[in-house]
Amino acid sequence: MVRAGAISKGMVLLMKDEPYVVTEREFVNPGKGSAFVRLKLKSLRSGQVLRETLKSNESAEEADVYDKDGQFLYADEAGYHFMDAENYEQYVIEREGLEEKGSYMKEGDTYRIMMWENRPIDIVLPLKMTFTVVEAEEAIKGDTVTGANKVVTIETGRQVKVPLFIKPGDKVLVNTETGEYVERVNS
Amino acid sequence: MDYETALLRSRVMRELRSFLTEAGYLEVDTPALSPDLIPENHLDVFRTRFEPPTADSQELYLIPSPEVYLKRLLAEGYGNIFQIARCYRNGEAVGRLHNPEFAMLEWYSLGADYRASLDTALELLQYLSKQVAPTVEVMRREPLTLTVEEAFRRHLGFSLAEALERNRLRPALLEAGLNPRRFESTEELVNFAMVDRIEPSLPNDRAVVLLDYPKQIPTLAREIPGTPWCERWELYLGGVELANCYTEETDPLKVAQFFASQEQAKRARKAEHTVDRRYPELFQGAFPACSGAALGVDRLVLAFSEKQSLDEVIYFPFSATV
Repeated sequence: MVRAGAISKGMVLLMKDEPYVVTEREFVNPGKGSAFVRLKLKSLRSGQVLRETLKSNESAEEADVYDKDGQFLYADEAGYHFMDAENYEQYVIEREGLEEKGSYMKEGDTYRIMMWENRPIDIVLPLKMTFTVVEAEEAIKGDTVTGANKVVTIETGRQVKVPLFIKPGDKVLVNTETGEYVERVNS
Repeated sequence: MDYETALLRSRVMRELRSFLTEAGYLEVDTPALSPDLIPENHLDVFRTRFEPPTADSQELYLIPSPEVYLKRLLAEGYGNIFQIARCYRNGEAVGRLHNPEFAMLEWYSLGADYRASLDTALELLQYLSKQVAPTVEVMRREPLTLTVEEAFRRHLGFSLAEALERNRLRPALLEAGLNPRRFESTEELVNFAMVDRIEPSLPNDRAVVLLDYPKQIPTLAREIPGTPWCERWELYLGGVELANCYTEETDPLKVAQFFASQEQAKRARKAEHTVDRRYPELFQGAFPACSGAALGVDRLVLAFSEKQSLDEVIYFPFSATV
């Protein structure tokens, strides 16, 4: 059990007997009344969104989840195919609700897979990942506006907004939560 | 905090002072340390000890708001006053909208009721935004003012007044699709409904004022005779609670009752602190009819800077230390 006041973003709670990940958490302390925690949660099974308001001294049940390493093999219509890094068993995670994460995954790389009741239910990406730029338009000459951006394609096919000086072949660090460019990585 | 925001913050402070001073309010700066506080059940305080070499040590508290001192000044006849105070609240989670130490503007207007204070607050916001943040979106639209009763009708589909009168708030919330679990007291149920449904439904593209709160939420706001309401408003800016105001209760008996109920509640959850037994006596003499309002300055800077988190608008936010 976890006290509502200690719930943080990313925590997995058991609600209606299903694991929900906390996607938003806001503390509300009206001062003239008891403190509450306003949560937005997403079902790890159906992707369904749930809103809950708990008093900060109430308890919630944490879902018994754990991570293990899985090597990403390929994606197809069935979903994302992984191989367990320990026992080499292959399994598929359905695409539904995970397309955003899928757009950052590179074939052959290993990721943390969240398991619940021996089933893979989520893919945990590092907050920041490095990618090679495969396609980029030339910067327009004379465009010296500070903060100007252009769109490039990274090796997974995803598009990212970057500063004008980025060229094909450059490595860039990208925030996988916001999709935003962080910095150029010197290789 | 980036330099541009620091500049905005400095201008907000300066213009707050300028507006209120021009309007005839005296700026005061009362202590942050106090040997006693007004008991308010839902506020937890920071305790410390004064240890003088020649006398017994004494427990002191960091003020959760300057009210305890400002009301003494009102009783002494200081007239219209304001303070921009550092305030301290313990036991609250640190987050996007909370820091254990924060800046609060508190002002008292003599002969005014809560509606007059609302006019002042809205003028103050208009003035400030014109001076320091003329392009900020949330100040461009007319504020929306509605009573708590109207908010319940609009966002929950039932009359709070009727539900209170017929003592069926809990079933009404269930019918409206809320899950009030184990909440039982009217105070808890109303607060839960506000947090769970009403606040998230309020428009966040403008200032929103909620007026007339139920008497069952204990405060020092004056009751409106013949109604279930108190003369109190709260103001939201960008969906964030920014200010709170009452027509102040000046009946010494009612003040004493409030103190007793809050002290008892604090004792029950072992969060007591020293209370000045003679404090309610302030209201027996020439305590003036007045209205008091408090406004979170950090949250105001947050709204004007259009940033996401208090971390970006205060110096050395506490979250950076944990």
